Amino acid sequence: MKTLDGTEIVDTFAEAFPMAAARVVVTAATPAWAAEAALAATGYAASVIGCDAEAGVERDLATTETPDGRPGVSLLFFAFSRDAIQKAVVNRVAQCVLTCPTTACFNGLPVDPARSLSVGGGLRYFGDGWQISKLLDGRRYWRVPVMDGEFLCEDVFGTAKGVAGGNFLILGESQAAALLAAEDAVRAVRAVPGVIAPFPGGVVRSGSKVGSKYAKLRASTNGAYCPTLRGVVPSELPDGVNAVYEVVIDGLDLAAVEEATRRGVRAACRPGVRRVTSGNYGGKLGPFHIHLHDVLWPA
Amino acid sequence: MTTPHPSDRLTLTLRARPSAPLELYGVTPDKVANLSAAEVARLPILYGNRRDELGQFFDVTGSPTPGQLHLVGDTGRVKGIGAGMFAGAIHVESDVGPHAGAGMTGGVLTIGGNAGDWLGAEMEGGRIEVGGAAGHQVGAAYRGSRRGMTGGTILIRGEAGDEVGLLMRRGVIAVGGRCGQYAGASMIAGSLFLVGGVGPRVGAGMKRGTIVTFGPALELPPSFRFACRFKPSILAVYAASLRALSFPVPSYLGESEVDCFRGDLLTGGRGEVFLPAAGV
Repeated sequence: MKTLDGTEIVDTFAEAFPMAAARVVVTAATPAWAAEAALAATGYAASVIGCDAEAGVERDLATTETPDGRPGVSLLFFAFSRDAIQKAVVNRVAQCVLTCPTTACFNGLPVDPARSLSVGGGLRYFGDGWQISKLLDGRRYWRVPVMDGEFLCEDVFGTAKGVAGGNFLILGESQAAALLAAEDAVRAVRAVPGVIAPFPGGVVRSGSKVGSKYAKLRASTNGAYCPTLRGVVPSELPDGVNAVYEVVIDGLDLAAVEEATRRGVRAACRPGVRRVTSGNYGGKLGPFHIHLHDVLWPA
Repeated sequence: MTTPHPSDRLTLTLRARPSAPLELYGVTPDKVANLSAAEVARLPILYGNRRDELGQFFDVTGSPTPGQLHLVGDTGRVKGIGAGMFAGAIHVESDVGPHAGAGMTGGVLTIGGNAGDWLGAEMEGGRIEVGGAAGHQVGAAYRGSRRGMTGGTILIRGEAGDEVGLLMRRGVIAVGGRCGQYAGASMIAGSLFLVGGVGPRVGAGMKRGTIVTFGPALELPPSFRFACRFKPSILAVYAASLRALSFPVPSYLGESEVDCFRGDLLTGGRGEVFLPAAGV
């Protein structure tokens, strides 16, 4: 088995899926308020198994990078269809960005009219007839009167065919060692443009398998990676591994997810991390296969 | 304002300033794209009330294929330059007469000198850039029309006359120098940036639309009311767009608060006039 900084890299792959993706740029009077809006808008968006979308902060934006010259945050949203992402983005912008002091909201992807989302176009009705439309350089903006001035929101948002479900698992000798490695991995992942790690802090401790002994559940705990079940269920954990964390990656394209995987795994490898592997369904469900060896040691 | 290489454009050189106005309606890059220089020289134009050939007044050189048209000479009495254009680019080295760019739907018209009245009147799209001043009724509706400009951008670095944006419905007009009276009168929508200030009765009768003005001693009609002082994000978006076109706007546009006046209350009060907040 190949190793990196003393950590075994399993010759396996992550199985990822296509998803509709949107990039939302939120600006505000201060970085703190932009972050508040971002945090709220991307909350409860860890997995489409139980949420309307997977979402996260892509990166902070400097004043020179935003349409209105204010501090901003770039957010990425992923959902199974354009209809689903339309609902998720509109609801989240309506409840979490429109409501947040001083914010404005802009599209961050190229717009193909056949694959676009109407965001400001739906939210404008909150203006109760006092909303103002501005068409500038081919982009329409809506200005909605609110109690601290006005909420500015772009009319139409573009979408992309994103790639969701990239992942790798960090098998550590202890919870502390695995968590430290996972934190470093997430930092490295989040430095890649065009990706998010949608789970809390970018880290998952509840890796799941498809199905359950309970008929109502679509997914349940992945016993093969639970150290407390070693010896009672077939285990994937080598001796000496006492904690596992997973990093899940969604990206705007396959290349971004591969790059994030490469950087994330490299950052995780160290003494105290026995093994890094990836989760898949035998390659039968997702069209994108991200082979760990291929991304770490390209030919 | 950039100009293409001489070999990549059709150049019309006016031999002498005409004693009567010349009308150049219909001579646009899109309409001459498939014509040879000789065919362009035979295009009919009006000289006063007489129909004549373009080649009687202009030397025609270069190739029209790339969609670039260049006008050289004392063209201050040439009317309708770029009127009705929907694609391509026209660059005029010096002044133009009235109705330049009127009814344009696309393309770019750049004017190195001054422009006459009715610049971009009822234009629907495209961009006009004027290095000097412009006359009255920029982007306005013709008398009897219900709407003026319905799209596009007009940038005037110098002054402009009266009734800028009269009855405009959409689009952007930015004037670097001072404007005459009745700027934005009866505006239906759209945006006016009047950097050098305005004459009296700005926005009179406006239904909707935005007027941003920076000059001193603004005389708003009495049917406007102060609404609030705030910092609209949209102004920063406009400022970035104008700066991208190298149009000089004050550094504080979009970065500082403005005083917002709503009006004209005689016509619904949905229009807005932004002035720099006191102390800026």
